[in-house]
Amino acid sequence: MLDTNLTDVSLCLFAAVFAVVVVFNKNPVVAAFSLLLMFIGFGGIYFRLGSVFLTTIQILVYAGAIAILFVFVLMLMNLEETKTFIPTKNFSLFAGIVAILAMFGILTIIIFNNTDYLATDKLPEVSMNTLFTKLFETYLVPFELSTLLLLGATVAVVFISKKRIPQ
Amino acid sequence: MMIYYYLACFIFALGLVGTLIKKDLISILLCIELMLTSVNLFFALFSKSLGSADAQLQVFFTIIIAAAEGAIGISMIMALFRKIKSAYPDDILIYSE
Amino acid sequence: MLDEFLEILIKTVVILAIPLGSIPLILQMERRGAAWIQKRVGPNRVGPYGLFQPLADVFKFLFKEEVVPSHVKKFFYIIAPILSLLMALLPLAGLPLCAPFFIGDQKVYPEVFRSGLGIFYVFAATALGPYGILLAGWASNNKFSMLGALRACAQMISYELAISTTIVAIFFIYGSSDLHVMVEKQNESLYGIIPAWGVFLQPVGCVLFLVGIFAESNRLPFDLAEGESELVAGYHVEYSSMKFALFYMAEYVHMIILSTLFVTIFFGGYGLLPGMGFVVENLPSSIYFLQAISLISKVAIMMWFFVWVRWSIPRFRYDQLMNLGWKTLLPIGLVNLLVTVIVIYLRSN
Repeated sequence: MLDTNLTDVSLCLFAAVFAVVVVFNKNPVVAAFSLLLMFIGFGGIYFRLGSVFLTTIQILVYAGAIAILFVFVLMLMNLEETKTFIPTKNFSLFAGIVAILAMFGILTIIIFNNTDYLATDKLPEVSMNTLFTKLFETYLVPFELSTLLLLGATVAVVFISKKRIPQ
Repeated sequence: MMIYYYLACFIFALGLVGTLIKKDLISILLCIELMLTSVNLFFALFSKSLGSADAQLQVFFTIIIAAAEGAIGISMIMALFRKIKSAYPDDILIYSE
Repeated sequence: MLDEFLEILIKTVVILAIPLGSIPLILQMERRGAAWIQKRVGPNRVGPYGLFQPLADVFKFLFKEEVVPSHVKKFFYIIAPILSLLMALLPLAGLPLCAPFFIGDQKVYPEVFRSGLGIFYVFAATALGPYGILLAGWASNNKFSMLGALRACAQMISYELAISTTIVAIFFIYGSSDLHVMVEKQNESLYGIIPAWGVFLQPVGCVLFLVGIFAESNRLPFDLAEGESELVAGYHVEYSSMKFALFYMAEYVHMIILSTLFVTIFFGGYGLLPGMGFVVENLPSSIYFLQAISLISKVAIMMWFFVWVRWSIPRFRYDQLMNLGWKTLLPIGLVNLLVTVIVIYLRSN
């Protein structure tokens, strides 16, 4: 494994804190904004991991498009603050935290029982060239299918949100 | 690098529990996005540890699906909101009777 | 370690000082230009030819009372203008002011944040622009603000699509996302006479990008976000004094950054202006300085173009704006991309 330094720790803290705010927060608009900040933090993490490609699409698609969509719609709907979050009673807050910790424990145990598959020393970086060669040769069919998926999604969204005129 | 595995596990757990305890539809969608993002981080980490390009391309496809899912989910919530003036699953149960 | 830190510090100061310092000048140019186009006199009282007017404006902004209305969401209300300016300044880190130069043996790049992303970094950072505006509109707790913010956001997202098709086409033409490579390729010449600027290689993309800049920076033919006759002042109705000035600065920084990107892609970037080659022959060390001057003067011409368009074309209606973005510009951009790819494919065979 590679060394962990201060940059890694602070990036993780940044992302983790805003992820907690997304869940344990009364106001959905604040939740959406912290989701955005978490996405930006993830962009930084991908950059640390040496993947420029992932950083670009993370910021462009997630932070620049998906998060904006959420913020936009939340502002349009203007939900009431108190109704959106359950743990008003201490018991359910407690149950939520316990559930998160349990799930976290299970996942870490699964991951760390299988560390043999993970490389122990530095591997060569994946270059943009090999990445895109692979995308347009091995993964050509999934790529084309995903464009169809996006087209279908566009048509579906237009159809769903169209105002129907009563006959 | 190990710390990122912990982070991904933690965010997945948060997203899963958030999906269960949140009350309005948009917040549930937000928590689903949390889970998707944490899985993306797993893939990026595996790509780093195994030195392969496949995992990074998997992230690419996941993001495409997340974009489609977000757009359709939100438009459905908006359509519902226009109809019953509410974005809470509990209200939908009342109106279905 | 210390050297790296010092390098980043110096670059940051230079790259921030140039646009932020030039905003008062642009403001003065805009006012005098507007007056000239409308056959008025314009502000000419403060100092010779009214040149100290921007200074007086700055003092006015600084000494005005800070008003926080009682019905706003206070934390977000205060943070929104700061976030707005911050998000606007982010893309500056990826823009080159001159060619990479040598200090001793070390090659120094003029950008603060040098990565493999190149143009995509600048574009991704400009995509974060709407957040400050949205937050301001929501935090103000005012219907006019909210409507203005939603309009601005929808408009920015829609025109980003047209711009992105152009950027992908440009990426294919130059074969690299690095802005330095793009500028180098534009310094060659086509058929020996005209420079190989992007505008001659990609004329349709150039027009699309130009329209996109106006929409992205909420400038006049598309300034629906603050249409005075409908929304009072849009997303910054509730803001006064320095907080308002921050929004104002963010708008101008947005214009400067997008114009710099436009000039770098389509008009040779920091490539020397005609006539400067003579100076470089006699004084080779001045080349980096002259490159910076060339870039800045090209951007200044763009700034004048903004003023010129502002007082020549009336404001669009909102549905016209959306139709233009989605039903005209986006299809043209996609066809343009397709034609570009086919031409590149045919030429490579």
